[in-house]
Amino acid sequence: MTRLVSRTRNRSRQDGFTLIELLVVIVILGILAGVVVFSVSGIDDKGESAAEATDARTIRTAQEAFFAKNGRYAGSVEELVEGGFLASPSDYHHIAPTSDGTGYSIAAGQPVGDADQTMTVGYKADPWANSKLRLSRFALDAGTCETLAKVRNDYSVGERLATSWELINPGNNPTYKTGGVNNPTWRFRLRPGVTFHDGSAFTAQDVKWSMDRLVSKGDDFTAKLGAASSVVVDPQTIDITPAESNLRLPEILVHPTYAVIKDQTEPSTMPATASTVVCTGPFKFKSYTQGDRIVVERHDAYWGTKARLRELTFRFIGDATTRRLALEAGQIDAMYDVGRSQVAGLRAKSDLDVVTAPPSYVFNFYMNLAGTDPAYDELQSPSVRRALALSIDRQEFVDQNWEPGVATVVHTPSPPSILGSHAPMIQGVPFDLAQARQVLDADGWTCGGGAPGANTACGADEVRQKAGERLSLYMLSSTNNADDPLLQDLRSRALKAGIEIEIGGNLSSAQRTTRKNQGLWDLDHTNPNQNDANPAFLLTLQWWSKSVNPWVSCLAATPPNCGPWQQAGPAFDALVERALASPTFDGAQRYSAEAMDLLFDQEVKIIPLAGLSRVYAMKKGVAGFTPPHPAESHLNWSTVYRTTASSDL
Amino acid sequence: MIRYTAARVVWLAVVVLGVSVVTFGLGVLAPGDPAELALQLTLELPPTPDQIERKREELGLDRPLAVQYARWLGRAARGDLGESYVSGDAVASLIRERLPRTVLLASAALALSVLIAVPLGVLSAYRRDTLVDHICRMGALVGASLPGYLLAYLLILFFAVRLEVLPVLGFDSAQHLVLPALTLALGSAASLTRFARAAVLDVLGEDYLRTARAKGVGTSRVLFAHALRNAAVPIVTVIGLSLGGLLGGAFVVEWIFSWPGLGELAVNAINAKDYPVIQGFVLVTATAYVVVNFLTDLVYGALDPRIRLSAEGR
Repeated sequence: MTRLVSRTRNRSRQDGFTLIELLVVIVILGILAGVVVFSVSGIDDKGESAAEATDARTIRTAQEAFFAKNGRYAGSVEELVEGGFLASPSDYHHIAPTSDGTGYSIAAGQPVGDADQTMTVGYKADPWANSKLRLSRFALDAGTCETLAKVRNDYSVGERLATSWELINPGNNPTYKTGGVNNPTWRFRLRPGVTFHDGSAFTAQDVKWSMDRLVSKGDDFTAKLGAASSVVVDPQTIDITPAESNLRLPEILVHPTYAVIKDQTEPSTMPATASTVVCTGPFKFKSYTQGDRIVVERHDAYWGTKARLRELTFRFIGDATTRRLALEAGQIDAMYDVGRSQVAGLRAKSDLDVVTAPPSYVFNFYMNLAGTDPAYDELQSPSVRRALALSIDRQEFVDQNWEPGVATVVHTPSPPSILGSHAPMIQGVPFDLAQARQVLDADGWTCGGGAPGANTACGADEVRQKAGERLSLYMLSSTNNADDPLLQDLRSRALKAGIEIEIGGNLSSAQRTTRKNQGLWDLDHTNPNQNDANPAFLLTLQWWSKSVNPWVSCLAATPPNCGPWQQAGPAFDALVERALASPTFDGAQRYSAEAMDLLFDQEVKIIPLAGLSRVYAMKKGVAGFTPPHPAESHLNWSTVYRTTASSDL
Repeated sequence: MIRYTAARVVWLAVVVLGVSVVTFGLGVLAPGDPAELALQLTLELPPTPDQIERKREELGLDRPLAVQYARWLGRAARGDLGESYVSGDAVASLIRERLPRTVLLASAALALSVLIAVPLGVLSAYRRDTLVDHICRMGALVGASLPGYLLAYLLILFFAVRLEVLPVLGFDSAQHLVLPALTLALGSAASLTRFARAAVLDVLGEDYLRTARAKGVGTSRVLFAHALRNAAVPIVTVIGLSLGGLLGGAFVVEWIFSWPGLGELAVNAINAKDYPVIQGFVLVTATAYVVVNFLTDLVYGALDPRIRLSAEGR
């Protein structure tokens, strides 16, 4: 008994577990752990969903606040951040505004490997292969350099390297006067804390260097700066006094030409290196191979919202078909300039998105309004000009020649959004073939030798005549191709009213320029881009008597290689000058609209045929790009990222 | 052989001089004022008459034509082909940078072309009027008829877009060379196949081949060691012409594949009316063509002693 008790007592002093007990405990712990894990992941998922929902609500609230202040919705999450309506960019969503800016949607898209994304974009032929390397101007800005002010998608002007500006009128620079009075001076206060790509501080001296360099190279053609225009007040303040009075300077300085580069650097130096291309933008220059590619990488010390992409490559692919095939093959992630004939095919691809910008340039008919050669004076007649406009069904022209969404009927020679609320002032000339015929007939341009006003019916393709002269208009062809389908279409429309258009194709560039400058033409067609925010920009270049273009004035050339061929007259000049001299942006828009109303509605000295949109295509999963700025040179690649992984070849 | 070579070298020099005259004449005959064109390409606004006059003096355009030619020729002989109107870069350096890429492409295309065309031509001749012959001839006809750009797009569509086995563009690796070289090779192989066939057919009926067969020489040896050797002269002629053509005529292919060679340089220069670059391109490719033909002549002499001996007057 004692031995039994002793053994029992001994056994009870052995603390421990049997193997079975341990196994049972492990199994129970495993079950419990599994239950917890699933619950936690569920919590994570729910948490993530809640975070996304909160994020979307936050963006909506910020948008309403933005709208209350600015009268429009922000075009991107970054714009909300810059305006102080959001604390930081979203990790879950991006904003996709409607192209008319009246609405927006919040699209889901979570970046993949946020910090390490790269992207390759197919651009056109190297824009610098045929010109000096100008990484801070025109065409492909590549997001490296910045201007003092920026132009938003709706052509309003916002802060960038300058946080504010004020007009000092009369100005404080005695070098430049008009009528004995100092020209107005613009004082720009610069954003503090900005660094260049090499880490050096951005100061007013850099702005002065940038502007002075443009003047010395003859590259300033709209701001009208002089060699002594830029004066450093202090490291954060600079005064700029144009050599000619210019109240539109902030709107003009958004143009990439006026990007700020580091003092004493020269981006035109070849080979381009990171030490010669020094700017402040969200991307910094990495490498450039002429004719092949330019590579930029994220500037991690950027003052604003950092770019999503670590590296961005622009491949120069001159052939549009190759560009498209490279996108379909996956060798590039996005492409510029989808051609008219490619839009439908790309839209049909389920793995690609086709993105259309708002209208950025207008396909116009320019007219020789003052031809001295009798062969080129028909358009001096208001009746002929109006009849030509009446004979073109612009809606049908757009519908038959472009895919939906790529072109639209506009009544302004510049994109209508540049005129803001004043754009509807211009009504345009409606299509009315019967009236076109009546107008011509009353003016003596008859068919079959009929008397003026007799309204004798014209045969098919019959050209009207007056005193033995055919109503034939010579059109310069910028494509050097008389068979261009667009021009042939216009030609056939005008012929229905009895107006013949002779297309002057196969001219060399030099021949074309000579004819244009000497007034040996009736019609011309070009599609100028609106690259700055000055509503009067195109008006000053193409019709203002003080334009330096030789087909508008002889201010910068001598006869016979210049003439007032496109001058619109004193009433137009007065309106343009009011637009330039208006102290408010709204005033500039209003007077510009009135000038366009005079130009088109009243005197028909131009015929805007179609407002054209840039079209881009990209792989599904590329986000942050919709819809882009109307002007290609203002595209913001820093907001672009991927929502799905894709591979580079 | 030395006399034969020397005669060819003298003729080469004469031809190159003639090419230089034509090339210089291109610039003279081109429409527009070169000074004005040069300024138009670099200034935002139309140049003023004063600016044009200064530019003319700078470019030496105010001198007599003969003086301009002599100066231009002297500089070209020293490797100075002037400067691009557009970028200001030395034309010689632009060409030097791109020439190796074009040579690489042309050489690869030529090698492929020969590898495809010669065996097919020999086979087609040997199997005359059989199905094999008809297929080869039809293939050659299609290849010769198909425009280069269309062939390029078809190959891209098939290999890059559908199969995704080759890249569309680039020049960093051997992979990037395949499609552009194949495009050029197929076009050139088409005509080379027909030449090879015709040349081999000419010799197939010769007595010495009948003798060789009668002596028991194998078919392959008869075809390649005897027939092809004797048919080589016209084939080598066409190969030589092809190389010259490939060097100077790869415009379309280089443009489509964004291959940064001489062709792409020339297309950009033509679009921009950059005459110094156009002149440099024409001079270099024409000279290359002449040199290739010279080398072809030398190869003739090596291949066929009768040509060498007759040239030496024996």
